[in-house]
Amino acid sequence: MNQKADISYFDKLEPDSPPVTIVWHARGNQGAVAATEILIILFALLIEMGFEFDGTSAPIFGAAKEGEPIRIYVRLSHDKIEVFYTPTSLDVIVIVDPTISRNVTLQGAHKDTVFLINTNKKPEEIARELKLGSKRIITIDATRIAKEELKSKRSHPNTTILGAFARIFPFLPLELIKKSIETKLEEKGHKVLDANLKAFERGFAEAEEFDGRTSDIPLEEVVPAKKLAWYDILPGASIPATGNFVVNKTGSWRTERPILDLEKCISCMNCIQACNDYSPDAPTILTQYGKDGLLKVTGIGYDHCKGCAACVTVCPNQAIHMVPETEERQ
Amino acid sequence: MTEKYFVIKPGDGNMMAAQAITDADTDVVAVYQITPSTQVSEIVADMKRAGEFTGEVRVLHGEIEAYTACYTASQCGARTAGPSCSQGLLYASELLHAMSGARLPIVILAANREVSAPVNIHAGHSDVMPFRDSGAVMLFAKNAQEVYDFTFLAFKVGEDKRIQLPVWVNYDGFEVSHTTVINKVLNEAGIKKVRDWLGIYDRPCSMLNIEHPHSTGGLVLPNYFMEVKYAILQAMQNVPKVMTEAAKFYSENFWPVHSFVEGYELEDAEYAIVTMGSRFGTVKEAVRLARANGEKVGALRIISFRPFPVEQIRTMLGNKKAVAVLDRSAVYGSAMPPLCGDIASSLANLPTVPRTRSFVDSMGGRVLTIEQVFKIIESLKHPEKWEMDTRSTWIGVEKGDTI
Repeated sequence: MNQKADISYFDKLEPDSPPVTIVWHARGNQGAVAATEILIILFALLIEMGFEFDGTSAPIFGAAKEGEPIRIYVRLSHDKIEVFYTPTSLDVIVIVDPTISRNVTLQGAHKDTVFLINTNKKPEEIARELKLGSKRIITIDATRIAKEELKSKRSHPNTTILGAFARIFPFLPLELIKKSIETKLEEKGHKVLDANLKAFERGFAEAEEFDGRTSDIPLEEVVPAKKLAWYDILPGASIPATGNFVVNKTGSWRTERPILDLEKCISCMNCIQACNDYSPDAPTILTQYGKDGLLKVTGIGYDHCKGCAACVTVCPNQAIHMVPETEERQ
Repeated sequence: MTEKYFVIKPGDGNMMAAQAITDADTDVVAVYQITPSTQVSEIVADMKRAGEFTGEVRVLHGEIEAYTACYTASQCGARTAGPSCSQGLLYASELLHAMSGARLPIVILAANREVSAPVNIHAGHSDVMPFRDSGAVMLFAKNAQEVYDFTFLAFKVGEDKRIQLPVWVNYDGFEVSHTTVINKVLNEAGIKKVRDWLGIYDRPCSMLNIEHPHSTGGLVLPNYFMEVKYAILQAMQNVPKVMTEAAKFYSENFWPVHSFVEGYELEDAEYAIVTMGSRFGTVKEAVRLARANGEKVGALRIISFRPFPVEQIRTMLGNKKAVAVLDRSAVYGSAMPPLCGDIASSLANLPTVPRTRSFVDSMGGRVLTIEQVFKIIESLKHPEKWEMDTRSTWIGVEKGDTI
């Protein structure tokens, strides 16, 4: 076993003990499902090599739309796993997108929970910001690293985070994890695979650790969501409103933000045609009639833009590019 | 003396269904015609042409489309009826489940017919049983008169604010749907009275409520799914009370109507035969003849299959020695078909549980004879001879291991 733990993590899986429970909180299309599947492929490899291990990965989706918060529950164990319920106590919490409500991401944390957070902030800083309490924290600026390595239009931080994740389980051989990544991504071609392996290595190397178990970081308890009684729900679960798309600001689902360069924009309106979420009542592309009587693009409506980058693809003049949502707005 | 509200009219089950749809001031009838319920929409269309029916009749391109039209019309607050049967119901099955989840009081007039394969157009309950747990209220009529009466009860109960569930009026294909009998139907004064009683269907969360618009058909995730389904359970538990009120009004103002069960010679009986639908007449006749020979036997008809009248069944059958249950649909690979299973579970946990024996008869329009019922009565007296306690006995199968 070729890795050294800085702070005490999970250095083995014991027989006859409950599985290690892990959750990945992410947004749709960040690749978190693929990352957890790579973990399971890894465990399958270990079993093939003769180890008595088992692993499960259970994604939970809402509307299954890009940008919507999703979570994946992973169990890793020495023994056969026969439970499928959502774990209520979590040993590792991976937050791929820290803009997801802490009332969601912090559920199930206990005193020994390890947090792995995708952020450009220092571990202690993000811990204070999220009021995590005295916990072990690892941070990794995966969105930036992935963008640098993968050079894709959109950032897929999953393999980078997997690199940082490998630190929590030092008994898992790095080479084997890479092999699992190869198995999962080989159909995407060599270029994508090599970039992802590089991102994985950088994730492992550039992760920052902070043992906050003796620190004074304040803890804010999770507020459980208020639930309606069955008799307070309208017949057939009807909603006493229509057209609430305008009210529901789905722009909060965005992981990356399109930036429009008005000097390059020729107001061809291709972006409006391509936009998945454009509606005149809640425009994602803002327009105005100019003095010449022609319709001009004036900006981006961030309240409802989910950051899918369809506009970037169709723009004939490269007037739009994506930046991570965590970067400050200009 | 009370005012006379009826006229005598000969007609078959389909005609009575159409007459009731018209008399109940239904707004929308959407169908794709299928034997043996074809005539329902034909007669309603004729009545529309004659100016008697003022709603919309739509013949669409298939049952999925027809029941989608029913679903949408009901969402908009229209009183809606959808006649169909057999393959049509199966084809539209997802709508039939969705309409109870969406809490739509659509009245489904089902002229029960067997399902393929092999193709058969005759009576059987195999088409309705797949929907027994869909969350709909289910009534089984024994003749055309009951088809007429139950349709009013169905609208009244289904549209009640405490219920808001679809209601099925089931009647056996051909045996009821095409057999002309002499019925009572409402006269002009009666129609006015029944329409006043039914009132206007007022859907609080109607899609067409312009002042307070609603969105429907949304996604419900694990955090609320069971609460929404629990509301169906609670509504179903309200049905006995609401149905009793409705049947009481109908019986007092028009003519008597059975609502949950119909018993015959059960008080001092030691043995009982339970059935649903048009075969009850045969069973009743056989019981009458057996009684003349000194047999202590009675008969029970289940009218309200959903909700199942558990309390009445425990009271009426709990003290019997043995009960035979006649299903008109089969179970393959388990002990009891739907009706028998429900009877047996209703009687379970009583201090002394009557022996229950399951029979399957009359599928695909086959005739149940008086002699066969005599054999059933004979077998009830000798439970020690029952060889097939763990599966149902099929009646009248050529060379089958039957009684």
